[in-house]
Amino acid sequence: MNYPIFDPGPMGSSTLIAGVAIIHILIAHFAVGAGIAIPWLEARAIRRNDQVLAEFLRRYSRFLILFSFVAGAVTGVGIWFVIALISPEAISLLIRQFVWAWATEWVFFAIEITSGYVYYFYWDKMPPKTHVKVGIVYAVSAWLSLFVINGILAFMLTPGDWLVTGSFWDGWLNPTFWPSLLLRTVSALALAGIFVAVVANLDRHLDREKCRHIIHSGSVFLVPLALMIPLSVWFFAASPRAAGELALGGSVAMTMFFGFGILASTLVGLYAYFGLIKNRRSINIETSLLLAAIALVATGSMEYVREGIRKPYIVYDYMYANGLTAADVSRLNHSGFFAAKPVIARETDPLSLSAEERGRLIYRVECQRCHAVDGYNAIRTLVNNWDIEMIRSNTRQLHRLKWFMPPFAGTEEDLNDLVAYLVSLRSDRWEDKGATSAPKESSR
Amino acid sequence: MSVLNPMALPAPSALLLALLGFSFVVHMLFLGLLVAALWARIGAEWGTRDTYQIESLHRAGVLAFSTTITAGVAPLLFVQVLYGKYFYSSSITIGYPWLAIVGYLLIGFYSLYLWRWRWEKADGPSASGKAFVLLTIVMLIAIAFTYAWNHLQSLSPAPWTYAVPHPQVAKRLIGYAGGTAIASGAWALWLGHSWRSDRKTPRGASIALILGCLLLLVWASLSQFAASAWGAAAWGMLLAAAALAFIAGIAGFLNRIGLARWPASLAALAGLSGLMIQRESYRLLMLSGDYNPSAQAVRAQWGPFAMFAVVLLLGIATFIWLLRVVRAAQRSTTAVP
Repeated sequence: MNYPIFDPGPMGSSTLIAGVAIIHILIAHFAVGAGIAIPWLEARAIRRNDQVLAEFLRRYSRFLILFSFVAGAVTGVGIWFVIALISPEAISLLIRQFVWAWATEWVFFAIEITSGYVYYFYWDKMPPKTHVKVGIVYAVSAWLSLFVINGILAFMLTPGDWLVTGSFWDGWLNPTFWPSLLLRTVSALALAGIFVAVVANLDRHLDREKCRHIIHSGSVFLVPLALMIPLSVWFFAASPRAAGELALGGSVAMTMFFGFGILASTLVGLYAYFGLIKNRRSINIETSLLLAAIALVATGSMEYVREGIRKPYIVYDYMYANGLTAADVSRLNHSGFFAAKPVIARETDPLSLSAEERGRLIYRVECQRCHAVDGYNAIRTLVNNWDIEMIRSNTRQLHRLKWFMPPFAGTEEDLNDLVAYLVSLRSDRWEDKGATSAPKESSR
Repeated sequence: MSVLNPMALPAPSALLLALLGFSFVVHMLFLGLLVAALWARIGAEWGTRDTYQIESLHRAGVLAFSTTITAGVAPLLFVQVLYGKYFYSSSITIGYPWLAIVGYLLIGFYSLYLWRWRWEKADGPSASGKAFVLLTIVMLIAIAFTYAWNHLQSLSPAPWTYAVPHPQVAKRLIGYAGGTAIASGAWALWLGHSWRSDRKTPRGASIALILGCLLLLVWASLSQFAASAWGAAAWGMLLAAAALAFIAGIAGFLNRIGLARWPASLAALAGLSGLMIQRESYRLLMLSGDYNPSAQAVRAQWGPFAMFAVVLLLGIATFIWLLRVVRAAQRSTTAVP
């Protein structure tokens, strides 16, 4: 309520966040996984005097630089910008609470970028052992960067004792910190392994045998995918019970996405072990791209589940998805929406507005972040077939009707205003549905 | 104060302001390196390309772009801690044009790589190579414009009242351009010194220094620093920077590159520090009726700060090690550094 409201239009706030976030997470995970894979494989190539692998790794690191150092860094800034536009209350909380974690992560990221460039640009210009050491610096800093950020992301689902103590350490090293970190590490390694296959197939310097050799070398990073099931069990055991239940049958969408993510990851891991490692099979460009697509969708699915099971909160048990805290809801219920002087209504006198206009202001603060008027999760479609009493009744007890909805916050008069606005959105008038009374103009 | 007060400042405001100022100067220094590398590319495309070593130029450009973005994250972080309410409000008010920065960055960054690719393909300058250099420059100007717009809007306690770019954006851009020009001039001298066998000042660097010097003089005399208690410090540093830049510019025109790079570097540091002090003083002044960081509740997180400080020291040690590794690699090869 302390900020203006950004209206992203029909695509909706969620689509905008998801679009940037999933792209960034994929690239960032790849950067971590490839950062670990490349120096590890280079050390092996040096040990075995494997020139084919060493030359390939040089070209693979160019792919890493072009893909993750440019798009990864920029989308990282992008996700910050997008969240600040859509959930300024949440990002404000995360920034103030974890500023030293963000700052620490920034140091690791700076080392990651610098060592990555030194590693790539000075490939043949320093002793091999020194070069591997630079690669290890890159790998360690990239993983530690994930280590730090993971704590902040996991905090949003499981703030744990922070809710009582307000302590940085309780919030950062929260109950899902470790399982989440290991899940992300496994995912990062798998992406690195899959992109070895993709880049090897696109590499015109490699004939069929050399390509098979490279893919075999990289496939070892896919094997940890077999740990996805036990790690997920650990993750959900540490999550709030209600959140776990949603992914394990409580919500059809969440269960399907979760099931797909786990199943796809496990199958790719098994395929890597039995097909690529044990039987030393090769895969062509089409298959490697298919594996990459499966990995991308699986990662996106798991991120969707992570975001989805947190609903109706953005920080579990503390802040709802619309940026209101439980204390805000209580205050609005008691004193009314306009008594709190939301920024978007600061320049206007609510008394001079119609009920519909006041309702639109309430919609913008309490609903718009998840519901566009038309387009993504459209509010018009939702209310189109409801009569006025249904709209009133459903809005009044949103959080009971749908588990993932925050409660309506405001007085009975505010509810009337919101209902008036929602009714105005319907393409056919509510009178046609047999309702007997229009929403009352409040006596403000 | 309640135990759960997540909106309290995590450190005294003076510490956060110092970190904001320091990280902003570092960011602007790297921006200067990026602009210097771009000037060198312009030189390669339109001028005396034989004297430039393209691979080094390319490395300097992408490294500078990367480090500018990375170094820019830190001041952005501290701005959000100190002035989040205003920064977020102005970002929201601007909306999609603010998000467009992500696109500008991607286009500008990839254009650097495309320029290198075109140079290899054409074995020298080409029309499309020139286009890629210009595209990067246009993107940088677009980013600077959008940042200046957001910054100025966030100086208002009610940024949502501005439907259009703040009327002072152009003036602010001139200030940034002065700081960047003088920093890039200093970097150009260092780059030129390491690349050119004749040890003469690159012409672009001399122009940058003189331009930066003039812009600083004009800007320092026109801007609004006098209203702030810190104004005198900013004013003094800016005049010192202008004087140093003038000396460096003269040395540059006399082809005394070894002499010119030191006053130029000091001028860059002084100029950017003055810019930073003036910028933050003006911000505090504009918001003083509505917000004062030093009056905010503080719930200091010294343990997490110690973690950051230790990691920062380790990071600096790692950077030094990496620099030594790079220098050893450069010494061991006769090829381009």
